[in-house]
Amino acid sequence: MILPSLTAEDISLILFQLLSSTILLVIILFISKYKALNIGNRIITAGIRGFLQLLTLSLFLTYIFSITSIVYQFLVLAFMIVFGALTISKRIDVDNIFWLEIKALSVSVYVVMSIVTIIGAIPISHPEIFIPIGGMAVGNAMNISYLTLNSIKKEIDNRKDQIEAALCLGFTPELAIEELQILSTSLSTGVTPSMNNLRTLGLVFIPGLMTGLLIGGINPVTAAIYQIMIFFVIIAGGLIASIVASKLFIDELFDKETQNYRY
Amino acid sequence: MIIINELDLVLDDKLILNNISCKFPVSQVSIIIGRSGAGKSSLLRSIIRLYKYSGNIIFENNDINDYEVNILRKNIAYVGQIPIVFPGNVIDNLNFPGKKWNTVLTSDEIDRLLQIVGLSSNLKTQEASNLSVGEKQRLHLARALSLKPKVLLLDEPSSALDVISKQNFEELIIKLNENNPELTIIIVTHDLDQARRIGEHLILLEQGAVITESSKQDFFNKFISGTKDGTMLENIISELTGVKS
Ligand SMILES: Nc1ncnc2c1ncn2[C@@H]1O[C@H](COP(=O)(O)OP(=O)(O)OP(=O)(O)O)[C@@H](O)[C@H]1O
Ligand SMILES: [Mg+2]
Repeated sequence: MILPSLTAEDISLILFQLLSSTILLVIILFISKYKALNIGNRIITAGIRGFLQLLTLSLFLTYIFSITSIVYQFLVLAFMIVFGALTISKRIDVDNIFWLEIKALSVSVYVVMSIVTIIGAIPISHPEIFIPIGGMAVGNAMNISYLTLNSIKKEIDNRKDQIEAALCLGFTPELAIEELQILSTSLSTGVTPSMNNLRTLGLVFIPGLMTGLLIGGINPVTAAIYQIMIFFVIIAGGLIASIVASKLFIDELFDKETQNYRY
Repeated sequence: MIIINELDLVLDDKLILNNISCKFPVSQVSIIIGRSGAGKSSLLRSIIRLYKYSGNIIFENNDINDYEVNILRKNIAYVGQIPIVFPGNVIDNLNFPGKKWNTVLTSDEIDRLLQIVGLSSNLKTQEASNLSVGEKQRLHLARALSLKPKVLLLDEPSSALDVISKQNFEELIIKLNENNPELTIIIVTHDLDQARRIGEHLILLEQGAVITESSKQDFFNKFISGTKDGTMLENIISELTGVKS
């Protein structure tokens, strides 16, 4: 059996955590019902899914961390990218969204992770560091590009008339979206939550990775610099993913021939 | 000259334009008249390729599909039914097309455009979104004219205006036509009296089909005895189609 045995202390801790989770879940369900948010079912499925995924991950982690080949580590990232793209494709109803996110996330994650590994900031021989950081890069690129695309679609829906007026002046859809500041607004909408985290770093927001490093006995200065670099990984990766995804997304939203909005 | 040959347009599986053939003579003002839903806007929008149609549309002896679509839209300006302004003030709006075509208007050119459409130059720095509907319509037209198009498509340009402003707008079109002999103008309207006041060539659309194309003079001679106002478009349509509406 891979699972280590649980001590009595572990068991009581698990019980307390389950109890707390239940109380918090009840609060969430209450708010959801009271404010008609309709997230009740989704939060329960998300919770159960998250638990099962983490459990599976823990079981595989020992194995994954024993992989020191760089090829395998990048393959693990590819696996994460596929799931990231799948998640977004369920949230945005536009043709080919899955494939365009695959491209956007791959470019972003591989560029950023290659930079940090080639320079040597993240030791490739330590999958227990490389994989979680790669996971953060994928997860955040996914979130940030999702927020960006979502905002682009919303802005276009709200300003269809202006876009059509620009097309009638001979603008291409890309240029119309750029000149109407839809692209810049949306990119900034995408990275704003992460930027807010960066600004409150250490004051409100104590990032998990740094906590882990400190607990692991790493020098606080090293841990802080590490964490800042991670933040740049997140924001640079998020921006690259957003820009690549927006470009492909806009191509998808407008007809090739008439350049007219298709949705 | 724009020539339309056997144009069919299907949108959402509905036949919107049915075998349209007609022409718009160069440097004249042509009127497309028809009731609401006849397909007037759809026809104008086909001419700038906002829709995929079957058949041919010829502009200056070439099929419009042979032009790069952006170039086509620079040469054929379309001013839609609802005036649209961009963020910023009046000058920003007039300079907007320049962001695509890398041109900057001199202040003389701005004054001239405002004067052509009859907008006071006091409005130059006013937020475009705060203009009245009529002013927005004029600004929209001025912005389209800034690209010096060869053809101007106007979709019910005065539908939002009161009678006086409507006639001012018509005078503006007449002057535009006089001062720009090269410019071909196509105006959509559902107002027979407006058609009587402006335009030389007339096309009557009903249920997506051309039911009459003639010089305006012939049209009014044929269908309206004398020059009295008040003859209904409906009457003419039922006379032509043999269907009582
Ligand atoms: N994108 C579209 N999809 C489906 N049907 C459409 C679309 N656009 C227009 N139609 C339909 O095509 C017909 C003609 O519309 P169009 O806007 O061309 O009429 P119109 O003559 O300009 O009318 P109005 O004087 O009211 O502006 C209408 O029945 C309209 O419902
Ligand atoms: Mg119309």
